[in-house]
Amino acid sequence: MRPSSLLRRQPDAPGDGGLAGLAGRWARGQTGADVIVAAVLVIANLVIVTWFGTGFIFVWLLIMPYIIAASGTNITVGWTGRLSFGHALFFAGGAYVAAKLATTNVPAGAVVVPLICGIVAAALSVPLSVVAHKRRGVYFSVLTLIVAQIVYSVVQNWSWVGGGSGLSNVYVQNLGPISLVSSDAFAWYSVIWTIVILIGLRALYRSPFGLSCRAVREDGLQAETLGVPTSRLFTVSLAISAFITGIAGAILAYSETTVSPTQFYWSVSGTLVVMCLLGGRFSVLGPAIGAAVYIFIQDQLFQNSASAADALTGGSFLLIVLVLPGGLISIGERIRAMRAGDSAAGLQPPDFLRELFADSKR
Amino acid sequence: MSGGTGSTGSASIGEAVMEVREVRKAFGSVQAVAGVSLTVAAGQVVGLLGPNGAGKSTLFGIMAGAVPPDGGSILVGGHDVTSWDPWKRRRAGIGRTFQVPRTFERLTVSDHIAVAVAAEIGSTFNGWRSADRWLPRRALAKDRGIMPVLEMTGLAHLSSRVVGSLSFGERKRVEIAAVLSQRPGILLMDEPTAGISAAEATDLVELLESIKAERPELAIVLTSHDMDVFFRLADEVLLMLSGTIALRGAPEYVRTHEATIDSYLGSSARNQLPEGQR
Repeated sequence: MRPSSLLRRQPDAPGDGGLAGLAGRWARGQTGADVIVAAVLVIANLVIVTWFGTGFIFVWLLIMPYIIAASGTNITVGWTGRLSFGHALFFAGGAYVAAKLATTNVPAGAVVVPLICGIVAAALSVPLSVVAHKRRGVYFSVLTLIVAQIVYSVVQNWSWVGGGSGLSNVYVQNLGPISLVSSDAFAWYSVIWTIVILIGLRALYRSPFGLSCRAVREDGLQAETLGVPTSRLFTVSLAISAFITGIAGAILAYSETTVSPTQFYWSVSGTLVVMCLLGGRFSVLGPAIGAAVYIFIQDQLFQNSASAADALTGGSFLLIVLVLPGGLISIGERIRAMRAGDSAAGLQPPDFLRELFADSKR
Repeated sequence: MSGGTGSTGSASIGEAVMEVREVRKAFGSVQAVAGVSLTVAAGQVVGLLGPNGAGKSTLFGIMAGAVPPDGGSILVGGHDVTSWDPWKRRRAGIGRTFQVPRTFERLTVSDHIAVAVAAEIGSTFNGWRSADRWLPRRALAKDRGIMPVLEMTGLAHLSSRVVGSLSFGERKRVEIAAVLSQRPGILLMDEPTAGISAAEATDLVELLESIKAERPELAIVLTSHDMDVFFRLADEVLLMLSGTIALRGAPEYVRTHEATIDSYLGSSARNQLPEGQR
């Protein structure tokens, strides 16, 4: 066997055709598909900005921060394999920092402020790591949920951040002489953030760091036995996850121009987790696809009503549990398996259920 | 954090690389390990023998850092590592395999080894280089290649397979390959031949023999139910009974000793031995 063929790898979720195949090749960096993903987003943005009405632009402007947030959340949910119900803390935390800094003149604020939001979110992850780094499964989920809910209560009663009514008039700062406030300019601004973060995440996913995170997900004790400092690795991975989710929070705040304490509520964390599972958490692109589909359906079919969001969450779970354990990204593989007459292929209970009720440590 | 072979790497043959001093561990009212002491020298192969429940796996866990002892201490290369986490002990030179192989099921075989190699060369936290392209080259430059170890362990043809799709014996091999890629000074192997076919067990013993030939300073501690494994590999065999070491000596001595026969086969079996060995 030639060495080059020996170095070739398969993705976590095997399969080389269709969406999963493209995503897999992209994650492996085989097809230069960074360019493809960037091109798809740029063309979509061009088409939406040029031909679609303002109504759809607002959905698009909501989709992008959620793509970034779900992709960031997935470092915890998919890479290290822990279902976090506390990422609203980082998402809303980023949004609130952006809101507080909206009227402060920060040099190159359009770029620097979201980065500051990310750094604050990463700092917020440290106490969470201290509490939860040795926990897995449902214990981890509950701990993260509790910490985030405590912050939710604090924010709701804290007048400096607007108390129960939150803060408004949150606009993105200028980029040099260019104002980014118009929806067209802001769409380009968001799409560039999305592309940069997805490409960065792909590199991280395939790096020794990303690989070690996935090893810890598979078997923490074995990883530790092989010399991986699992607690420290998890702390760093959660900080990166929070950093990206915090940036997403800033972009969401600019997109909606307001922030409110409900963004800290646990159901927001739940939505981010559902997006990861819906799209497929064992890939880099899965959560992005999950976020886009979720927001699109929520907005277009249910007009953003709260009870409909619950129905959508439940429906997504049903879909994942009953039909698509690997998420939307595995759809091509699933159809091929069914065509081949193997309708039960890949229909084991989704791994997250097993993980949720697995041992509490490591 | 270059890791290297850790503090046991430079030991010359015969020099003590690991010392276990009076370690104790109880689970509730059960004293699993009751004051065990032993010394492992560089190049030595120590076999731990004992019936189920004798405390072998607990002692292993204590040596590897997965089980905290109630008392006693573990010294590796002169350092007291008793309170060290498993990852830090790995860097001190201890490698370990489990009775039931613990593997990264959704990763490919070569990725599994890559995780081990990255930890060994101190690249675990490298988030900007490619684990596909940069890491194998870097590892090779540091004499910790991924492909060489896969070839040595007969896994090269499976390198791009997902570990979860492999057989039990193959996964056991993957686990061993990952440890070997790190070149530990001490290798702890819990039941390396359990659950695999006789042919696979023979292959495994041959593999260990070839590693010993290549790296004579490697110390191995292994447990097994398989006497043939001890005979081919071990320099010294310790018989564990009820958490203590009841007997120690050369394999042949321990094998034919009445304490071994009684604990494995029952005292009636002794009567079936040739006259001189009863």
